[in-house]
Amino acid sequence: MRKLGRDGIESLVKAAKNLDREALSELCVYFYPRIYRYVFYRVGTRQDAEDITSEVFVRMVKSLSTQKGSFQAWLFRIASNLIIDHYRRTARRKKALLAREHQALLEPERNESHDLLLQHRLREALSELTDEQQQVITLKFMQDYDNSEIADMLSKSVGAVKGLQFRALANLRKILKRGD
Amino acid sequence: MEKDMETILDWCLDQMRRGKKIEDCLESYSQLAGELRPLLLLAKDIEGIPTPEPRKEALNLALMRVGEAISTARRRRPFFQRIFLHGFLVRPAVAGALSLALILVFIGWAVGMLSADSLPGDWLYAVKKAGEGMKYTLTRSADAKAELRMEFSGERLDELIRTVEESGALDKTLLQNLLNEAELALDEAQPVKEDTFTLIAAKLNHFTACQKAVLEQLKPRVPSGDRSEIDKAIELCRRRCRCLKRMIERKEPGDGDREWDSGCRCRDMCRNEPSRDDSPE
Repeated sequence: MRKLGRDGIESLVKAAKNLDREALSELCVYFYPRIYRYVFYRVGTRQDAEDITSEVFVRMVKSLSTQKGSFQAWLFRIASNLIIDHYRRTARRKKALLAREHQALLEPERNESHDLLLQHRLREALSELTDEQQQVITLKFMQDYDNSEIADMLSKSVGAVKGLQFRALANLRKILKRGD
Repeated sequence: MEKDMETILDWCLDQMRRGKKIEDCLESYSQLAGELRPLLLLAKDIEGIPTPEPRKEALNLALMRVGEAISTARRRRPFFQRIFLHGFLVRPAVAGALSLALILVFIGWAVGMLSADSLPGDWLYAVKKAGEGMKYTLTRSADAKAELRMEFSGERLDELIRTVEESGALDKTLLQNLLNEAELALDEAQPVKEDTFTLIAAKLNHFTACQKAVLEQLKPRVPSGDRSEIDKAIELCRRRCRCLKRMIERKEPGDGDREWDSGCRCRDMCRNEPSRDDSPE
């Protein structure tokens, strides 16, 4: 897939605000994998990740006319809010964790590939971090966003992002060490 | 100290992204190496984990939902927005031309309104006359043109009264014009059908009688030297009323019956002597 620059995204967003079908579809195709990865590590199952990611783009169409500032940051904020809603709706993070444990039992059996195991283990560990720490790890190390982009998405300063990054890695290390 | 650690860790991560090895990054911060190394290794491990890829079916499903959302959003959009946002009107050149046209229409309307009360000698009077000319040109049917001539004649009469009130002098050109427009009204009506012609003649008769009455009222207010002009105009109106009355009351219409009688045209004004017959027309 072609890499869209800031200008490319802006021109697509401009057309999308006029409900241009082609521009909206292109934005969806471009951002779907990015949003999916972001959601994947923060919710229990692949199905939840797909549902939430899909809902992100429906919300995008509904409220794009009021969008201001960085589109990317705005889209990730929608995703983040939907993840929070998801946990609120199930109202039982504990239950979600149980479901994840259940999933953990099932997934390796379904596909025993090493990659999936790693992904699953990381997802487990990430779930014990704070929401913001999860976001920093996902965006920085899995999506390759830089500090200023992450700061924009989280509405924080670059300094705050560096702090979150440090604490997230330190906590994650403790969690993984404990698991070993 | 922690703040320093945060910055150093971020610097090391940045260097690693640029291709440096962990040990090379730690060389500059050997005293912190023990604490930094495991974090950098962890970051490297996380980056090394293959990213989960979405299923194609899931993407297609999302695209379908997006398509439905677009259709719903389009239906809910207000009508003017549908035109402005989706159509060609959004293009800058078209929008600019439309704005300019709207501004010109507004200016034209404002100038037209201002010029409506203008008098000969005002700079807006030319605009008023041009407007009348345009109105006349755009009018197609003969009966409508005849009505328009009467309207112009009435306008000149109004201007004549206001000129006398404001300056106390008689504008002979205006007087001539008001009579001329009324004369042309009948000329314009020549091609129309008989019943329409009779109607126009009746209207013109009533209108000419009114003109005569107004001119009689105006006469004492004009300078005595100009009163003879008013008298000639009143006499012309009287003759026209007689002529028009004959046209309205005729039993069998024939050729020439629609024409002004001799002495009813403006060019005959100099020859007209005020009559002593004051009977109502």
